[in-house]
Amino acid sequence: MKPFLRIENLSKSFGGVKAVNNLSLELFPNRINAIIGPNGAGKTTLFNLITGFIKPDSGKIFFDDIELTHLPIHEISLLGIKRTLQIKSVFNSMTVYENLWITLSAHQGNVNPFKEISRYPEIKRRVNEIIEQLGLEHFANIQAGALSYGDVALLEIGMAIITSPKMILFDEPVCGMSPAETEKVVSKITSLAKETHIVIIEHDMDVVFKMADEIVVLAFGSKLASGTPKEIGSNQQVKEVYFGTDEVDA
Amino acid sequence: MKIHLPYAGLLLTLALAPWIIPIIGDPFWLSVLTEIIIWSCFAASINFLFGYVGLLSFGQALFFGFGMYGVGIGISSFQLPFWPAFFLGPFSATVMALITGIFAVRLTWHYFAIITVVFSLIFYFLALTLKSITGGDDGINFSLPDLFNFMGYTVSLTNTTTQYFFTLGVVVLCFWLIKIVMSSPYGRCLIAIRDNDVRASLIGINVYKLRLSAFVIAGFLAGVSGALFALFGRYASASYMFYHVSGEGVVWAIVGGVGTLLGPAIGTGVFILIREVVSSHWQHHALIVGAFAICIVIFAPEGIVGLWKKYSKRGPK
Repeated sequence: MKPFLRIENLSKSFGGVKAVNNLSLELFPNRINAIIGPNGAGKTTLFNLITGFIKPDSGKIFFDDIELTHLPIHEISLLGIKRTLQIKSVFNSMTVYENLWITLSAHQGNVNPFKEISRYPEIKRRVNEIIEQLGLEHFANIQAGALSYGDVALLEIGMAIITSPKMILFDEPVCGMSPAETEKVVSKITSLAKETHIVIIEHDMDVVFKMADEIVVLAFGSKLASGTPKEIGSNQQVKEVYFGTDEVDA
Repeated sequence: MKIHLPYAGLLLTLALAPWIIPIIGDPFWLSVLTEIIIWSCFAASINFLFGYVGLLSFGQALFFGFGMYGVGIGISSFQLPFWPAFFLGPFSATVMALITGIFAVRLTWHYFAIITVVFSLIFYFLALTLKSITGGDDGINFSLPDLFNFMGYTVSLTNTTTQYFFTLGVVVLCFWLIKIVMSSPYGRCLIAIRDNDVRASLIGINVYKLRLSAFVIAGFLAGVSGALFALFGRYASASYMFYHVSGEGVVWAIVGGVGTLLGPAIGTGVFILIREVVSSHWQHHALIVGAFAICIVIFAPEGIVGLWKKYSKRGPK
């Protein structure tokens, strides 16, 4: 099987700190890939490197054989690589509908300055479809800034999936959520795995071990171990470095 | 196309102003109204950047000045007829906006504000120094070519009413253009960038390119107002390129309501009226203007239009 994401000898330092240190990684399709590691392990830096927020000091990133290493953020996005952020981030002055609308329109590269936005029936249809799928019908015309945290997270997921992306990177998707909201998001992500490549960073171990098919453990910017949740759970090295030396109830 | 009552009412009033004003007061107010309309377009330029893309420019006077000098130099040095001279103003402002924009829109927030001031100052002092071209502080005076001349029948802006309708027509066209552009996918992209530029780039918007295009459009709008003002005053002067002029425009736009179509026009109208009414009685009229601006910013941060919207469900948008 061919990996959809291939990372070769990637390094990035901030000042003297090696956030990502000669990291090589291959992620394979048809499974939920999770990246875990203690604070400062370089998880979010890795996402920032993949999505073009920052440029690596050395190393290469390939997505389906396309090199991403030096592409700007918007071009990486237009390749079908979407991302949710750790601190949920949508367009607050726009309604839920408008948020989804602009996301799809922008993905189509549409910057027509003269055609009225109401004259795009296909976009409208797709937006309503997604709103229904997420169960956000009641909030369609409410400003995103007025939504609850869980609904903003759902909207953000909606903005990721409306373009039918090839890969979605979830940065702590259930961070700060109630158990009910977590449940909703986990089931949504699990069902998405059938149609698109998924990589998640997550702190909540219960969630990770329940959802993930493949786990990569990072420590100090390098790969410590990778394998199924079972393998990771019983890996002595991971236990020591990541979980501490005490018993783990995973 | 829907007809919005506030727009239609405002347009009708403005169209009838040359006949209403002599009935209720001194015909001199028609000139004041012309001036308000010209500066509204300038405030709209500032609003286009600040209200729609989130870039606060203190340098729009630079493009206003280029609009003025385009017309002034076109007429006095190149002896151009009316229309080519009138187009030369906004054209040179737009080109200038493209050149400065390439550098300026790499920055945001206070860095952007500062670089726009710097550009504005550079060209202000350049215009002061290059006396042979710009006339420096004294500026260039010129006489108006005819608007058109058809078989001995001439129309010229020397007629106050003609001048008024010419100005009104051009500025209404600009506002209409802004309205069209802001209800398009392009306009939505600008709002997205204003709201959250990180998310905007994550959904595939080329933030730099769109900011640059908005900067150029705003430069064009400022250029149009500068060209109109040159035709109105029949002169062009470096003093209008000073950042003080930009600052005034920023205050008008904010008091009127940024991010709204008519806010800048309303803010401009209120302030120029205060200036005209008070300055003939009291020389410290700027004091009232300042106090008023502070009150609006504190008590109605969304400006006069925001206040209007709050108290009536169907205000102008």
